[in-house]
Amino acid sequence: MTQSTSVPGKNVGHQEGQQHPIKLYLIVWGWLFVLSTCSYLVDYFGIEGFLRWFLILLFMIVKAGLIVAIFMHMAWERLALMYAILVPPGAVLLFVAIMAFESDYTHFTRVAFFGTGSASAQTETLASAKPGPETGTATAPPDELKKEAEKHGPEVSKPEVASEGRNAALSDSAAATGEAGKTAPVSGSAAGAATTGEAGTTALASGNAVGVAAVHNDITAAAKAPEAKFYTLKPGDTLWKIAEAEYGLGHGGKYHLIFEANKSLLSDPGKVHPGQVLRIPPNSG
Amino acid sequence: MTESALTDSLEAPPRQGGWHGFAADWSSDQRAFKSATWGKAMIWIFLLSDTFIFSCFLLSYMTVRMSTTVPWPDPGKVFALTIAGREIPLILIAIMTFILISSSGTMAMAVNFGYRHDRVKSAVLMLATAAFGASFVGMQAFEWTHLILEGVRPWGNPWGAAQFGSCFFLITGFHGTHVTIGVIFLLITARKVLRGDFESGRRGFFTSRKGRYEIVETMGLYWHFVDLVWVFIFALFYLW
Repeated sequence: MTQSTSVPGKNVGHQEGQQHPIKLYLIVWGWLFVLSTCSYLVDYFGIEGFLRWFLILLFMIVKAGLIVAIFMHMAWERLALMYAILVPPGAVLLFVAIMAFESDYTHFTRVAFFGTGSASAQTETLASAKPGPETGTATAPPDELKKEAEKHGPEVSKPEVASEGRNAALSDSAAATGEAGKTAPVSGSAAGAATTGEAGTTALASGNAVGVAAVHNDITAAAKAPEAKFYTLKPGDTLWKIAEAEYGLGHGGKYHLIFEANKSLLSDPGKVHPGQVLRIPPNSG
Repeated sequence: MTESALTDSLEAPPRQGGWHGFAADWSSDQRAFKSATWGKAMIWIFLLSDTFIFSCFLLSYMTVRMSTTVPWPDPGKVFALTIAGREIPLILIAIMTFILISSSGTMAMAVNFGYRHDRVKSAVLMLATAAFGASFVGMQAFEWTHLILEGVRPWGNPWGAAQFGSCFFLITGFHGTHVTIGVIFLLITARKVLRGDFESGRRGFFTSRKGRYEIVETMGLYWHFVDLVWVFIFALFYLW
């Protein structure tokens, strides 16, 4: 350690590389072990809050410093090299600050506009569609109505529809009169949907629209389809969790069935929000 | 100008240290890094660029973790192993950390013995380093298999925020790749040292000039960097 590269001609090995006693490496090695154990113990004993962060970052920086200074011999290099290598990563700290600010803002907007579950749109009154007398489908072929429903269905989730009122009512009587179909085209075409699944999804879309507090669903469908289940997402829910709860433990991999059944609502299996109502298809396979 | 290429080979006056030395080293048309050969300077600059790559990964991890409204899976529980009927949090990661630190220690000594032209000791220590590195990669493979079987995917996982999987696979995968490359080059360098390539000046891949063991230190710098990155991953990904 007493040697320094600025002192010329100490020994032969010196001209080529640095020579330091093995003991120094062993001491540093020991310290790295101690520091790693310490940072592991922080987690093991469950230290939380400011103290946890302080200790973790302290041990991290001391360990990194020992490795760079002694093991990588930076402590014996000249300042020119030290600054060239060690100063640029300092810019990363600025980057960290920028991104921390940015992610804080993103988090804020997500909570403000999508909600975390408690204050967001909740759909309680959704019942699974029951077979019953049908008025709307009598006049038009099912295929055309289905197309109509698909055309209008997504509109429900747009804010302008939602802004009409806190409650969006879907009623088959609206379709039957024909007049009401103009003022509430979505309700009309939704009622015309031939299958349970179609009607269910359209109603769900209304429920997930921002600002809709409750969806009152009177839709009745002509065809008797297998009973569809619905599930309202709670905070912390994932498709995987729901699949395990619905199809049994170890069947989490079937989350894709739920995703497929709700493709009109979900862009990505990982992007679900508390308050969303999903249709749970029957377990197949 | 007190220094030039001509006077460098003769008895050069002692160089200034501190700020004056810093200014003098950079201020004229000359080699800027007096204490380091071009090889050493280049590996340092390579490592600096690698630092930025890992920084970007860890930064994007920080950004998604801070901005998600979905709870982040608890790494203490995710990476817990049941040993002798007791669930110990993060134990595998702790063992991996100790293994990598041990490999850094053996590598530092391998560099030292290399400069002393103690070929056998240097090569044996490098092989030990490679063995530690290989077991680290093996444990990482075990950890990946374990998590994949539990259903962690880059797009989702059973416990919470979907970004957990993508961050985990990207960061540890990139680090594991570095370790794997390091192990391969350690084996190549150890063979060259043992065979005496650096004494005989035998021509070949990565063989430098006669009697120079600098390539061992270059190898060491890369290896210590891999350990260094793990220090940050351990603290920021596993302990956060």
